Amino acid sequence: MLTLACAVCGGGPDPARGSYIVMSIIISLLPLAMLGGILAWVIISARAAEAAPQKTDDGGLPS
Amino acid sequence: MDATLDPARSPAPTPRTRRQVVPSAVLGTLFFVVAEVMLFSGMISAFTISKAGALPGMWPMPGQPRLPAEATALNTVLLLLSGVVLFVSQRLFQKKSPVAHWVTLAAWALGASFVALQGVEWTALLASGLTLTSSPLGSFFYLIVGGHALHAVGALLALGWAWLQMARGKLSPGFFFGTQTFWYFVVLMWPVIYARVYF
Amino acid sequence: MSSTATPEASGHSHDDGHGHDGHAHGHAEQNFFLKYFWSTDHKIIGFQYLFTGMFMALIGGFAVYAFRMQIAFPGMSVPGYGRVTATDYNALVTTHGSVMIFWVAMPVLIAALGNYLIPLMIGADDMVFPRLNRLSYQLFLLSIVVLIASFFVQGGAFGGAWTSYPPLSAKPEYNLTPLGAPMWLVAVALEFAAFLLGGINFVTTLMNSRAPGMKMFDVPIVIWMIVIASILFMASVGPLVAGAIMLLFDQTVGTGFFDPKKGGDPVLWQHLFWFFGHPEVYVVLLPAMGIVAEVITTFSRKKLFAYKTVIYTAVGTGALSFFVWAHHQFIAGIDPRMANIFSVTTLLISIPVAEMVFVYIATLFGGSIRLTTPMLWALAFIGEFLLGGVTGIFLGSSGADIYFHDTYFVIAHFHYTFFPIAFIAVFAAVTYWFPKMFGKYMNEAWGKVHFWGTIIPFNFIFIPLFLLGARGDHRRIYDYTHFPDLMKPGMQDLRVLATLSLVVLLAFQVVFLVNYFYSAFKGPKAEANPWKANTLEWQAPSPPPHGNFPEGLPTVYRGPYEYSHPDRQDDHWPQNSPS
Repeated sequence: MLTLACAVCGGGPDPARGSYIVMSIIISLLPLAMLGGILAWVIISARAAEAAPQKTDDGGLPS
Repeated sequence: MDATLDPARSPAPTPRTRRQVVPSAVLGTLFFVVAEVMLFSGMISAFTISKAGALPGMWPMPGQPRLPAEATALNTVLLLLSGVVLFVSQRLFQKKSPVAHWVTLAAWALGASFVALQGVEWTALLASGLTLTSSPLGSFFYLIVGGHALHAVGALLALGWAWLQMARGKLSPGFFFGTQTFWYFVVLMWPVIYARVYF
Repeated sequence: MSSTATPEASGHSHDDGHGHDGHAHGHAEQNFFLKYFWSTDHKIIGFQYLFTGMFMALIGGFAVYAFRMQIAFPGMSVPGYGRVTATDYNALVTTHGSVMIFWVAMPVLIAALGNYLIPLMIGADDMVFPRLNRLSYQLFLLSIVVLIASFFVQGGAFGGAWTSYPPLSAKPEYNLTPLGAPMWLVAVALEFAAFLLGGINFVTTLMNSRAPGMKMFDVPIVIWMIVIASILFMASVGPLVAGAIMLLFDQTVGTGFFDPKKGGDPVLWQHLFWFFGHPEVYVVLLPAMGIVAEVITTFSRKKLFAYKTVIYTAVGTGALSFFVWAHHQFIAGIDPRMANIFSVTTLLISIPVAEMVFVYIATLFGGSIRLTTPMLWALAFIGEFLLGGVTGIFLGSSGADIYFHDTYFVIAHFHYTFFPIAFIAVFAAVTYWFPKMFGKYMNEAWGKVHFWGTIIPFNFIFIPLFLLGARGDHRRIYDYTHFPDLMKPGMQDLRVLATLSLVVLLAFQVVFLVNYFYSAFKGPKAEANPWKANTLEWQAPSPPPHGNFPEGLPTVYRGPYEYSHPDRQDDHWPQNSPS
């Protein structure tokens, strides 16, 4: 643990450091979760739209 | 615009559009909501870290009022109710029900009463000495709750316009669904803020 | 278009936008102002962003010229600027950094190319929300007005570096710019709002306006990259906006979010800033990678090696980019457990990026390569960016970073990434799509002069900085003569070398500007598809008219990189050609 040798690392009271870590994890995962949710929804809707009878003017081409 | 576009005159082959798998207005609003959720999660995480880092006995600072968690529970219920009512109004709107716009108005009124009660709460807190600069809790409270209130007011303006257009029978579905998506964000963001900030 | 589309399918802005295609032919001549300043046409908005970005690059370039002259020749009166005071120096460094990233790289790579290319390359007539698009540019322009105004207010422009760390940025007593600092923040916030609107447009347009027959995996790489980058931007910008509001309150109202005396925490800003700040690197990198993919496939007449892999790696890079930001704070007082984790993720992210580079090299392998100006730029991008990436490994290791932190090694490293992204790739794009944008050719010979005149001085600027940084040369120092340790033999010579190379590099940009604007008006006329490329934009006339495809929107039959197909005589196979 080379970083422990660094004099400025690990400052601040312990609960604050803990909450930094927890918040970092949450805030990093949150956007991925949201984007993943949107992506899943779009894919599901696309599948459903493909299964449903075509009523577009797509010229019958697959979308 | 379709009425003005005579297919016989338009160049061959006629421009075609793709069927929208997800309506553009909803998709656009969803991505906006992602950015907004991240805005609030930035603020809430800052709040959490500052709270955890406060010296013992300094959160809330001595002499500062407590946040009225119980009174705000009523607001929370009103806001959640408004989300449910708006959902019902969407169903009615899609069925082209003539009462749809009254239900939308009801959702609007519930949302507006939430904002009004928040305003009453703010004046009481300001009077009892919790201001933007009085303590970290005050700063974060007005930042986060104020930010949410601003979003609520903006969404209410859009929703009010949607209601007006719906009553006139001129509402474009895209506008309504986009606004609705945004209002659900305002509704669902609130319980998180309430649970984090008030307790 | 027909009204049989589902009722929820047409948002009201959407209707306005697609009203255009009906008018594409009998379009009434608008006056100059309405056509170029109030347009909802995606191509005009793309040009607005492009030219604004170019103008801002001149400001950023001038700023770096002034402060580098001060570093090389302390105390001299810089020709064209005058004496650089310490306050000026800070303001110039800040201006250079924020302008180049927020007002050059972002608008040109994302907004200009995204607006110009997305509808053309997916075979649409315009964006889904054209009026939102216009509003986006107007907000962007407003942000520039605020930024430029901040140069002239009392106290001058903000001097707290583009990262704007508190407490320096939070208190006028420290930064001495009571007006410049909040104005800088407001300008940045406006700019983000502009790109947020732009990003929403890009994603919805790609989803809902693709030409008939175009599947998601028929979309050219550059469009994928721009859209993935905008999604990254939208998902990461929130915390920084939150931090910016808090900082603005600290500066103007007197709250103490980042002030330890009032119970705040200055390191908090760094988290909020870098949560956006590092994904931002990938926000600008991915479009640059996409440009390179387009250019090298066209000029090596070969199918892109592993098309889907590039997309998956781009998505992977994007996902990983949310987990690397704290490597900017290794010695800022973060928990060492966090430093370890972020060290690992930082090294991990080099894998997908390296994979993309390998894919491009594999695409080049065995192709019939034509060394046109855009191709030279694209190849230079791969080489130069590689150097930037490799030096990042040193900084990403939390142990080595303790030594390298805040030295010129860091500066050289991120310029080796950002310069290829914001200039080399952009020059590739500008020269590659020039015939499409203006219907004219640029001069090849002068293009190559400009290429070599940029690449050689670029390396002569930053290799000396690597050497200086490895010797411990600290950044953010106004006058090195006050620091005997940093004035050891040879160090000042390297600084002078870097500065003189910079002057040469800037001088060669005149060649580009003259070539660009002269060719736009007087260049030889270009045909619609001069490079014999497959993607849809080349199947539209050059320059494309309002509505893009006068013969009706194209129908897509195949992927974008079918070059040198064995069954065909032609070595290219346009996406919209039925057979």
